[in-house]
Amino acid sequence: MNIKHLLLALGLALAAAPMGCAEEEPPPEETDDDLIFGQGTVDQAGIVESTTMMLAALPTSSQLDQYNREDPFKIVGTSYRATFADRLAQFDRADGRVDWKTDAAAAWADRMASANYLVIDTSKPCAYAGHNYLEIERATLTGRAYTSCGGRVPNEDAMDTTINFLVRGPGASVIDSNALGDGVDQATQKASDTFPYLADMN
Amino acid sequence: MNRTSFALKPLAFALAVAAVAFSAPRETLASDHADGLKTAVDLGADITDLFAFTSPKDPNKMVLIMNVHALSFSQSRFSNSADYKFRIRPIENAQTLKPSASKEETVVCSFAKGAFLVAPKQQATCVFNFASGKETLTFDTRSDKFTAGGSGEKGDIRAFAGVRSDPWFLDLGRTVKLSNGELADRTPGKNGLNGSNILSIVVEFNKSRLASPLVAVAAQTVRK
Repeated sequence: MNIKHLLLALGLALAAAPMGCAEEEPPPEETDDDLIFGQGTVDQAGIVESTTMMLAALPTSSQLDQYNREDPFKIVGTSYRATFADRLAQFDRADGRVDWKTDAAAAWADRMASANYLVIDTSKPCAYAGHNYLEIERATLTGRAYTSCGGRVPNEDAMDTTINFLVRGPGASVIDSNALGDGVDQATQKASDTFPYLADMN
Repeated sequence: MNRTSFALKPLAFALAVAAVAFSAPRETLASDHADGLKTAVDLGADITDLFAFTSPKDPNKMVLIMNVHALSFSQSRFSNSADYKFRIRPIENAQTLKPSASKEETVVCSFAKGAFLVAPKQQATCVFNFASGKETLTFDTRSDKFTAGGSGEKGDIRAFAGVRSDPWFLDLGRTVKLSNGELADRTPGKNGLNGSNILSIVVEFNKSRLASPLVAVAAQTVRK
């Protein structure tokens, strides 16, 4: 038993202990987490891997908590821009080529340092079994018209899309013959096409 | 009142989350899972993924999904002291994809009741605030329809909250290597999140309720 399991077991045992007291009053409305955590934004999300790949190589980076606490539509921290640009340049060099044009790389670093959001055009078709994620951004960065809704559907391989976007540039497709990937193409259970879409718990 | 037992509960919770904190920083679960020291501890408010799409069954419906709590199990519940926000802003310039600085529509879900580990059923309230009007949906997070979840519906508006299979997938080791500049080979990888569950909020509404078809969508958790 490692320290994680020991602490978890102690926590669960202490939490379960009050259950045996027959005369006990109902628990208060206030929750346990009220007593531990403060107020304000805890997390914000939009672009996949905006933090754990694009902003930092390790989850211990001090910039991560700071970025998570930002307003996703009005990021005010000034330290992220240089880090996003440096990290993107590092990914771009990973295959020994430089695929990102200077203006496109600058535009992406500017975007991630100022806001974090998905773009979806609900007037365009969403391919539920296809590739939509980042399509609008990739089209805009390379000067072509987009054809899909963008956004993000549950079953698409957003990690592979992200890898190809960062390493091979916004013009690279996740389905061409040179596409990179992490070798995992499906979640534990696939999402269905009916509400609430995500599969039942494992 | 058994004061000792209530004094122990925060301690128990602290120990449990400390267990997570000890393990999380070593290797991130990525996408947005436990992406920082604070979110690795505050799992109930740690967003793991955001999805936005039109329904495959009815393209007139907009679907938004926010997942939190990367270590969920059947007794897991949302935080009663957090707002779970979907924020939607029209994109006014299709060339720059910059969202409006002032116009915003939201769906904000909050939770009440339930108790840590022993009573996972909560009352969910989701407020849909569109330019065209406001709707409120209230429902329980446990029902006979789902193993560990509940849903509500009013007209074209639907919402679900509860435990689902984590839809995120990746090879953790290869992702960490890539994050440090090393490309993976093309052999099959291993899903580091195999068998994992998350807490999910799914909302659905007619896309005609939105002020614009081209929008920016963000998820945010805010402790009140």
